[in-house]
Amino acid sequence: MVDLSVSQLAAMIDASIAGRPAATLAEMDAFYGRLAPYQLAAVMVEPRYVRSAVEYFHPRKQNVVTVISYPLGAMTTEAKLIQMAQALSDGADELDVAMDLSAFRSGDFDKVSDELRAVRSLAGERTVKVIYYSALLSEGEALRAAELILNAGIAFLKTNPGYGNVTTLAHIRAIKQRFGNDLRVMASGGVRTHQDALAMIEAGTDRIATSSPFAVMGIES
Amino acid sequence: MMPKTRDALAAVIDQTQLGLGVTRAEMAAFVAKAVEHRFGCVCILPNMVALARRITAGSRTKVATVISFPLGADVPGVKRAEARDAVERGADEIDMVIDVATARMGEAGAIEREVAAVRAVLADGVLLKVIIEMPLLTSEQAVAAALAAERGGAHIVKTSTGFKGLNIRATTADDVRLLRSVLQPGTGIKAAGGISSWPLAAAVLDAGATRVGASSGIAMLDQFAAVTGPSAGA
Repeated sequence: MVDLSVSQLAAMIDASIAGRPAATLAEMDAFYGRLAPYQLAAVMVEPRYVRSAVEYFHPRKQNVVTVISYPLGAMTTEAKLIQMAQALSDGADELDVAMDLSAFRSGDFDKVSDELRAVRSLAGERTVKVIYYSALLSEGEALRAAELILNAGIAFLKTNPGYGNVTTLAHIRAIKQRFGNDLRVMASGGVRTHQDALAMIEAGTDRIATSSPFAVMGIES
Repeated sequence: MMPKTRDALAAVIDQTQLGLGVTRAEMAAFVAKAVEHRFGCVCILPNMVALARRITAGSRTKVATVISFPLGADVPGVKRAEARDAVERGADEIDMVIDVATARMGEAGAIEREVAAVRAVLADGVLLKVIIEMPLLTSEQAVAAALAAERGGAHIVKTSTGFKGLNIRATTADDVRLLRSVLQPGTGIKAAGGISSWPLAAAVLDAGATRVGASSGIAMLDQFAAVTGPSAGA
């Protein structure tokens, strides 16, 4: 098993608040405070909290990521772009954009690609990851989705939105085997412990999305 | 009000398909069946509005879609733009989720403002339902949110998203009674979330709901017809 220091692990984590839908600002502030000692890949917040997170974390040189059309991916392209524009103007450093899974499953790959190209273009220099719902797709479909995303100019995948959709080690290996270093992949969904994280990293994951960042870093069980 | 006939019951059900990754063919079949059963409304995701609108044309079935669903965690300007986009694509009704965090923080004014922002871009005749997500709120927070939604221009206050990923409780008849006791008589109540059978629908309608959101509307109609007999089945 790979061995990584807390700071090495922290640098691979997108951390979100656990078990608290509709968190209050006070709850978010407490969450920010707990994360402050660590240099994470990014702190994940819902769109309404981007401004508050940016205000808190940018002076600490900490990136903030938010989600677009989350968790269902079923907003129209136009609405996704409006939501993105707001997040960018609020200062989000990264955007996790949910793919239109209905269009993908309907075989309308042009629609999926056109949307992702528009997303890529609007995001400019900022990092975009695309949520493609690996847990709901066959291996072949998931690889096809990854290829569409890459061809649209986005080289960073996020496997799932969470909400019970678990990412398997086999899937991460399949992505890395097929795309090597052309694509980065973030494992999202079901990564809760230090052991989970190390196994994911050994399988080739580049990043980990988790609402259990302290357990994943191995500083809390 | 309790419906007397199968057709009257169908009129107050929002037949709902908000599932992730439903194909266009599956959605087309779902909407066609809803039209055939004469539901008052189908409630679907925004990327399906144009498709649904084509299928419901000429029928009594309206098309509702959801805004900032299911988390409600968008700023008002984004919700307003989403609603405008949905209406341009043919949505007859908008089910928007409030920023539930503000309800938990006791910021009724913020809820009123976001609802008013969305209402302002709706053409006359477009119905606004406001989802307050009661399972995440105390009774006091729910009442404050419902009244704020009403002040902001909601035509209907809706109890819950019913989103399974949140692992929230189902809507109850008590939820509906609570809303009925504080809202104006002209403000409707849509009960949604876990209402999966005719007895559960009957309970919320009896408590004062004017709409029921359900993904199992056809089964509900069949159960209703079985209980009330063929005379009501027409």
